[in-house]
Amino acid sequence: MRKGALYFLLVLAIISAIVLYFFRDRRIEAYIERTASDSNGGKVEIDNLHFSVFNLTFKFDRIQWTDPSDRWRNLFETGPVEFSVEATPLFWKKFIIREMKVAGVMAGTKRATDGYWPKAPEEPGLFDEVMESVEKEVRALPVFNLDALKQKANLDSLLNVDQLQAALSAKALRADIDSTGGHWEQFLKTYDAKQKIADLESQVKAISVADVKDLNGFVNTLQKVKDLRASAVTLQNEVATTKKRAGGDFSRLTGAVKNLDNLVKEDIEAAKKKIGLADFDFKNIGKLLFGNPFQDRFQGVMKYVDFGRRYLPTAQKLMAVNKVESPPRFKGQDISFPRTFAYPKFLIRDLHLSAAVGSAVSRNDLAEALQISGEASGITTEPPVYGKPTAFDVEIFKQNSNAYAVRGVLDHTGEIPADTLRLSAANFRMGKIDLKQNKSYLPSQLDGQRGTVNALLALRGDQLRASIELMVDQLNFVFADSAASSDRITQAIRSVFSSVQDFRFSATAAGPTEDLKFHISSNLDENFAQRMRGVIQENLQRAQQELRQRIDKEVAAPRKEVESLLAAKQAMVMNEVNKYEKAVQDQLAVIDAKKQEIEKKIEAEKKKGEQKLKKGLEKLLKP
Amino acid sequence: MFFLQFISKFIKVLRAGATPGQIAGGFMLGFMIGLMPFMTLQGAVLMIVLFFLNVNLSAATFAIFASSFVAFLFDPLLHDLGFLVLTKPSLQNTWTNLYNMPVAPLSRFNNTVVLGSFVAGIILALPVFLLARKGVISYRSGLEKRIKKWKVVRWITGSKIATWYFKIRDMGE
Repeated sequence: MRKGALYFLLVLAIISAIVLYFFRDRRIEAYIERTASDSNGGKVEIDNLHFSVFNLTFKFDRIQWTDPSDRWRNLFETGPVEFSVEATPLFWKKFIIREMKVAGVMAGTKRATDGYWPKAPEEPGLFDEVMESVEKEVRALPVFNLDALKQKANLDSLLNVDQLQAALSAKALRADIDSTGGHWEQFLKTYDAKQKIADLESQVKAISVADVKDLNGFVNTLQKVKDLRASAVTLQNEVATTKKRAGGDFSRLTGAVKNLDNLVKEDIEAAKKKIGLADFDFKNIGKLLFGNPFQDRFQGVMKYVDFGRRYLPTAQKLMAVNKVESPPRFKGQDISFPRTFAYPKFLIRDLHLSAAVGSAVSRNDLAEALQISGEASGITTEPPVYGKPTAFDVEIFKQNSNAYAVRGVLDHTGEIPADTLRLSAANFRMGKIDLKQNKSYLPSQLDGQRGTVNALLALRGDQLRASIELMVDQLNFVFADSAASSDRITQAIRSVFSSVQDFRFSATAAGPTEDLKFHISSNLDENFAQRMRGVIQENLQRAQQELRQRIDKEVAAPRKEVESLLAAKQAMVMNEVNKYEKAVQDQLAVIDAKKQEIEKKIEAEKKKGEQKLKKGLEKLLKP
Repeated sequence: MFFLQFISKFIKVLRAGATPGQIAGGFMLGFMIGLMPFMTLQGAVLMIVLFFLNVNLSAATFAIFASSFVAFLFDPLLHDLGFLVLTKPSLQNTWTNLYNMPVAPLSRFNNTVVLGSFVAGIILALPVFLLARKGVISYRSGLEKRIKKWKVVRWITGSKIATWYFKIRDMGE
């Protein structure tokens, strides 16, 4: 036992405490920055952190949180932040923030330095799944090409005739007919039925009933004839089987030739879709116009919902003990156990927030930014342990302008996470919405005055339901090319847009996250249906007819060639087989005739014998 | 230079000075500390024990460095061992109780590598102690002379490295 060690350790502890005390701010700041950056996959920087040991209070001037997808932009940055930590949970290694005040949060600010931080590979999450499903729906939006109606389209430049399924199929069919016909020709060349028929014929000829004199001779000849008949029936069956096989092969080829009609129809439908001449449902105009902007806004909301799903794990995820096969050296894997105390690893009980959101926002220019003010509670890394959902209630507004109310509850306390977000605003100024259209006859922007909006996003497990209702007065559709068009169709379409003053729009997305279904409707749809039907329908039918004729023409020649080739091969093979069939039938008829003749002769011989016997008996019995 | 001095001191200790038990005790504790990841509660406790017990500190320091290297090499095995122990159904109540006690979570016992290396350290402590003690006794009772006769040792002693070694050894005397 070393008594001096006690003094040594005491001195060491005191020196360590002093060093830690004086350098604590920098050490804590560096630790938080490193941990947050690892988790974010982009640099997280804190300015001037100060930690008070005596009342466990943290303060810092600013935190910058780099957007992992754009290292020169912050996902958000804050102004001064202040919070205090509860002491008792620290003994459980838990970090519980009683109350946090965050001021001056701004999203999308530019960074002065590179925010790169090595990012761990992420598994696809809810966001990827939902956005893939949404993109699938948007890709399926009606593609309607009025250019194909406005002028006589050069179909050859739009159609890839070499890729028409019917033409390709006719080529393949020709090869198939050649190959099948060739096979049968070869088969018939070496077919031994011809020889068998000849043998049978010579054997039948060799049987001369006239040369047979007695009953025994007749009986023996009958047996020979019966044997020959059995051989002939076997041969007949063999030829019939060959005929059936050949017939089957040619029936298949005939069916394939007939199927060319269906392929032509499919080619026409595919070409209509590709060129943009699909049958147009005017009810789709809302989907066509607003599908892309809806996707963009939906994507924006889903990013935050996904963030919640990733960082607010459910009990199921929290207690998962799937072994990590190769963790980094000295890092290992943390295993979770059931808690009997209510301290999650990290918790902010209450958060008071003021923020500003907008593209390229700067602190000196808040007039154009959306400002956010509100409260949130129960922000934790372990919702099932805390047992209460994360909730927030914020107001989003522009200076002297719109105000939106956003409320949300992210309930991840049970096995199935349930997230609900609601947004509402009355009498807001809509401003301009980019419609992402590049066709001259469709508007590129929507410019609205005052309106009302109500939106809901509810996600329970993987079942999502999102809806938005928008009502705007004094609406104006802006065209990229403002010059008046001389084209009749474009003029008509533009006039429909110009006549719309009040806009009513509703959209829903519902279903499992990997297979969402969209429904978008607006009062534009009915306007279009009424006013555009006559103008567009006539031109559309003409263009469709042209396309049909062009494809028919392209397929007609190979089709004719295939049909005549098939007929020739089929006739040649089937005639040959029919010949064999007839020859066997002829021999069978001869054999049957001979059989009958012999049987008659035998019958006659029998009668003759009976009479002879009768006469002999009578002579013998005469007295 | 500190490292060379430290090796010199360790070799001197092997030859004379502390008892084989003190050297083996220091080596064993150093081995356990070095096997575990840096900065754990149980590591700190073992450090305090090391300072309080009358064991050889040079041997302990040498063992800390040596077993840190061993821990790096066998890290995947220690992870497997830790996972096995932490997920063993019969121990779940123990771990759950420990997990819910104050201070215990600071030991990071629920980490596979931390617990795996701690368990491995405990299991190997006695064999390491006995082997170390036997090694010191053997070294002092003639193994040193026999080792010096080995061809490879003679080749090394004739090299520049050996010259350095003697310099280091003389520095400590």
